[in-house]
Amino acid sequence: MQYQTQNIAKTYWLGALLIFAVQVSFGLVGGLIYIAPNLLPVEYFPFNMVRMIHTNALIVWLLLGFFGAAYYLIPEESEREIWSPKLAYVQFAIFFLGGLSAVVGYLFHIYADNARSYLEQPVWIKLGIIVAALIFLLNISMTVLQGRKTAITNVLLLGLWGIAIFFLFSLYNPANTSEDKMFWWYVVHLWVEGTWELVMASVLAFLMLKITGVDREVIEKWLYIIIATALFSGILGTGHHYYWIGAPGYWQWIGSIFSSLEVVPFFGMMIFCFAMVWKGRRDHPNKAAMIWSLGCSVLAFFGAGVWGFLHTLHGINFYTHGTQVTAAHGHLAFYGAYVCLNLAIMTYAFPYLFNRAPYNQVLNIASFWITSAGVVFMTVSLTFAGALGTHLERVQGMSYMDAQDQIGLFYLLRFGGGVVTVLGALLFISSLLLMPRTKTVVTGAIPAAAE
Amino acid sequence: MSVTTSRLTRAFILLITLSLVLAVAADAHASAFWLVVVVLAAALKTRIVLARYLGLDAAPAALTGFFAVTFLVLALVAGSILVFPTPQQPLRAENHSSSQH
Amino acid sequence: MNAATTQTADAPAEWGPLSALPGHPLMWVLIASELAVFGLALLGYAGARAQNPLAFALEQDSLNRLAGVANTALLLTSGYFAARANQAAHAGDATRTRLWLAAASALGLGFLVVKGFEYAGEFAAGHDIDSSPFFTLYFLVTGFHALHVVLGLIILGIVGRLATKTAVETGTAFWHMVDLIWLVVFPVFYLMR
Repeated sequence: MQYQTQNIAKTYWLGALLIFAVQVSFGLVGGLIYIAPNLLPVEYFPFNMVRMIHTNALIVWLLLGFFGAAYYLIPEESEREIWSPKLAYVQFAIFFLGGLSAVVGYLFHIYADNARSYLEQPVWIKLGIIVAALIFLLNISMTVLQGRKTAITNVLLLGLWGIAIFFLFSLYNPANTSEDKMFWWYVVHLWVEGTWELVMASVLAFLMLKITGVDREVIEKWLYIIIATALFSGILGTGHHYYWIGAPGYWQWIGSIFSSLEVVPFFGMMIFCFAMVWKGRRDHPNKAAMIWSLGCSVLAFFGAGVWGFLHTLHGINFYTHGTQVTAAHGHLAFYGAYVCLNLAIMTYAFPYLFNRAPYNQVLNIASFWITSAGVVFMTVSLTFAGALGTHLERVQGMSYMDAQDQIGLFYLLRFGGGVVTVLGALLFISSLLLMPRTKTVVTGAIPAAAE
Repeated sequence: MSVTTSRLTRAFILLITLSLVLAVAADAHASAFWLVVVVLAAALKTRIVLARYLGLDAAPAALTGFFAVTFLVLALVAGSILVFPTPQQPLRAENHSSSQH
Repeated sequence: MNAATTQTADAPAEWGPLSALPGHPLMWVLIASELAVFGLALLGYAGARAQNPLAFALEQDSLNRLAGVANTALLLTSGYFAARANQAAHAGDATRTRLWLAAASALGLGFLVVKGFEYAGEFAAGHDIDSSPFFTLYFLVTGFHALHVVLGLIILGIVGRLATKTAVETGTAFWHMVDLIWLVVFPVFYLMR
């Protein structure tokens, strides 16, 4: 670690890991409710609340992870300390307590009246999030502006500013349900298929720069091409959420065409990562970070790209809208693109933050395979559930609950995949937390700062 | 400068000529033959624009790639018209004769 | 924007296969993306038409073919002027570059005027973007193309101000792309039946 203020990332990531554990645990509870609805007392574990915690906690910890990544990589890229470490901790306190009290509040049925998925937080928590975001943007923008400007920090800043700006639409709740949905997607879609992709591309670029030692010039060019295609396809790709929600019919064409191309940046990121590792001369000792990075790009391509394309064309979505196909896509896309990304940068940075590089990574590498296998198994189960459910319900005209009965087996399989995922996640967390105490040191020199 | 002025001007004249061929072909009665003429003339125009206007003469691989895309799109649309032809209806003939004047 | 200003000085080999292409390599990423979008839209047109060829043929017949041919000629001539501007920029003649670009822009403006009259006629006849599958696609694709003409005019204005070799090469590449797309869009909507 070259800069003292990179330590800020430690706080953010430890907070993120805590909420990660909460998130997957509630996922497991949700999966259990699917197969045994009356096992847990409904008054304490209503499904809507469990689902809300599962999805909200996901967003909160991924954002904490992004913040941590920014605090870790910006000093190295800008070649200077973070502008105000104190503000960074204030921001953490606001964001973490806000996120935590939102999640705890859900347990006591405190949430916005005009609730929309992912945005169920009461208004005062939303305002807290905005204050935290403003502090964060001020802090990192000042750091970047005063320091060296690289393509990686430019793209990262663009992405992070975009995240904050699009969140503002969460405050606007039109009474008209169709309009309400349209603006909801301004937050959700333009996050995960727009600005978050910029964060993902820049963090991956940073990791490739450090792990493979390929020239910065080459990496920057890939980065530009990836974000150009991401923005080109992602912005109008929002149209694939506007089918049959009351938006004009031409959105079916806009959505189908542009969102078909959303697979391109994910394909680009996958090719980029493999090309860099292939080309890289450096034998970096942190193999786990490399596996998470490569895994991230591959699973994002399949989860976000291929599984997204499966039901993005309006002729297909006419049948699959709101079935388990969406859930299958959602799980692998979030895991591949954003969970793996966070775990990759954490895996890369923790040894530096705790002065333990290089170290024994067997646990960490095992956790990659276990967690990924669990999520892929869940995805495949849900895909079958979705395809079968679509056929029974939308083609054959079976009633919703009868169709659900027919696909019960796949929910059971999904729960099995969920158990494996949670075990893998806990293994990952413990591998990072145990690491500071680990004695086993793998031989091999730590490479000098890459350039 | 990869393309000289005279080559550019020749390209332009050819493009305008092909456009006239297209216009005549379009006014002719719809048939598979004229459909093929339209596709070939349009495809040739895209190739000229790619090669001369966009200067892909200097990058043959890119010329082939981009031309393949434009040609493929035209050919696939034409193919679908041949597979799913417009049914001959009295309404249509009436419409057509009025446009001939 | 930042990318364009910092990257132009780089050695050509660094962009891999994109290095051989004229103008800024990222422009070619955009050109390829645009071709993909319009290509998919036209294949979507073929699919939608196959479901009701008769309705498509009738509405296709109502389009103003003469205006389409005129617009093709306008764009091709404009493209020729833009290519001449590119030559002038390579010769280092800023004045002639600007004159050719102005001529190219004037014809581009002419395209928009013709298209405007066409749209006005179609609206007057009761067609709009929601009136039928054919007109949804027609207005979407030609409208999206017209937006690119507008953007192209702005780009030509900007590169005319700069009048440097790379800028003009990049700006006219965009303009030729707009031209190229029309050469595919026009026959599909107006002529092929």
